[in-house]
Amino acid sequence: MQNSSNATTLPMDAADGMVNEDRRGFVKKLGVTALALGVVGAVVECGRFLKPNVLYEPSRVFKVGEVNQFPFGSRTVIEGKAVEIVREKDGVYAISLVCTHLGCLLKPVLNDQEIGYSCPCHGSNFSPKGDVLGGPAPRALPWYDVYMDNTGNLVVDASKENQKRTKLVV
Amino acid sequence: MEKAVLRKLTSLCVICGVAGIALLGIMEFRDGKREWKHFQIEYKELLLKKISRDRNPAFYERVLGMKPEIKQIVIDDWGAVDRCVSCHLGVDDPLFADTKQPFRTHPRPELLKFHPVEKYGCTICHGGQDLSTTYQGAAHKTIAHWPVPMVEKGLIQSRCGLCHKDFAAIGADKLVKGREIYKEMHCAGCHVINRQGGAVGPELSAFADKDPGAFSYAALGDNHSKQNWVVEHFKNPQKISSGSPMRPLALNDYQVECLSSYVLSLSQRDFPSRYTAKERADFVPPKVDTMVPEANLTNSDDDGK
Ligand code: FES
Repeated sequence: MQNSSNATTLPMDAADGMVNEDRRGFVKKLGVTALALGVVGAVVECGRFLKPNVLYEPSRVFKVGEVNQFPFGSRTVIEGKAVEIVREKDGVYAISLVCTHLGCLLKPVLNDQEIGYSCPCHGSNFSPKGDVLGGPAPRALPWYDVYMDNTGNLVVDASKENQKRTKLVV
Repeated sequence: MEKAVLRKLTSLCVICGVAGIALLGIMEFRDGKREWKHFQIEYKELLLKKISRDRNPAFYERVLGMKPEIKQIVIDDWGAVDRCVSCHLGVDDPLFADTKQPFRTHPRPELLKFHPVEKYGCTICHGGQDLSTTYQGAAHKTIAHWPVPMVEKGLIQSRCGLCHKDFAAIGADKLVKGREIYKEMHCAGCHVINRQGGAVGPELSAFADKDPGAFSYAALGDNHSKQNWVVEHFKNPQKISSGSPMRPLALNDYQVECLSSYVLSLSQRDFPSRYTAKERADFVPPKVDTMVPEANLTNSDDDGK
């Protein structure tokens, strides 16, 4: 056993059976490790292969227009994207217009203190900030991330929910 | 089991395992080396140099967190998924006006203003293979098996004409000129465009929509594209489509370009109105047929359309 450490580095010196067994053990371990790594790697890669890099769908990050198209106090529905841009004195935010019940497109209710959005399908009502006031909707309307890019355009990232409901100061 | 067999199995395991790991390594390496990934990393560095954290911290943070990903514009109505923007990242960003390609801003920002990239994409005007993410595959030049390579500079107005029928209103001089040539050369004697003209040669009303696979490229050498076919055909019709009774036209290169642009713009593809331009209410496409129908023929089809 005392020369087992150089048994692997200097295999030609191996004279007795003990050392040979050690070497075999090492090779076996190497074999098992390599095989295990190879199999795990292949499985991981197969999993990655099944998950598409990109789908044939419009990007969830989209420009909505220059900031000055959204005057203070305005609420603008972005056509085809089911979001509304709300600009208030203290900032801008983007709120989803998809009903959290079964996904109907909400109708913004203007000139109402309490109700901000109402759903034509089963009558859910939401406050102007998106909280559920009544009806079958289970959750509040999500707010999405908004930022301004270097050309002065507002960009909505509908893949990221703005959980803290922060407004973008512009 | 016998020792010899066991030993052989062990070495087989080692070899398979090592080979598997090596293959995974190669895959990772090659996957990381894709053109667009490399461009996106470079773009990020360039952009970070051009913007400042103090002026727009939210944007700066976003750029900082940018990871290479395929970017695309989906235009269902045109049937295109344009991934050009995976590399042409600064195309509508004035900050990149004099950066090298592929990041450079579009040279005609005034055109982009009316045709925002996120709405129209790129291939609708420029042609090329929309889904591709490599320089070669995107058909910047003619490639095998993709018959609609990017439109050459000289013919680019043909793409304007797909939607804009009022050529003069958009300043498409080549299309205007091409249509004049068509009229002057009495092409309508043999070809029909929009129910005007004779039926000796093939109808051209929807020439742009014609399947590029329907052309014979035998006499064209390597440059197999419909655009090239048209240009070469106007230079020498009989060489390109053998047996054609069409006579060679005495045109210079510029005139050939104009005529080709015009013919390649003849499309009848319908496009939703939110994409197409408003036309003057009183706009009537100019006549391309100078033929006068004989007076005693009653079924003359001449309704000026
Ligand atoms: S989908 Fe809106 S209430 Fe049912």
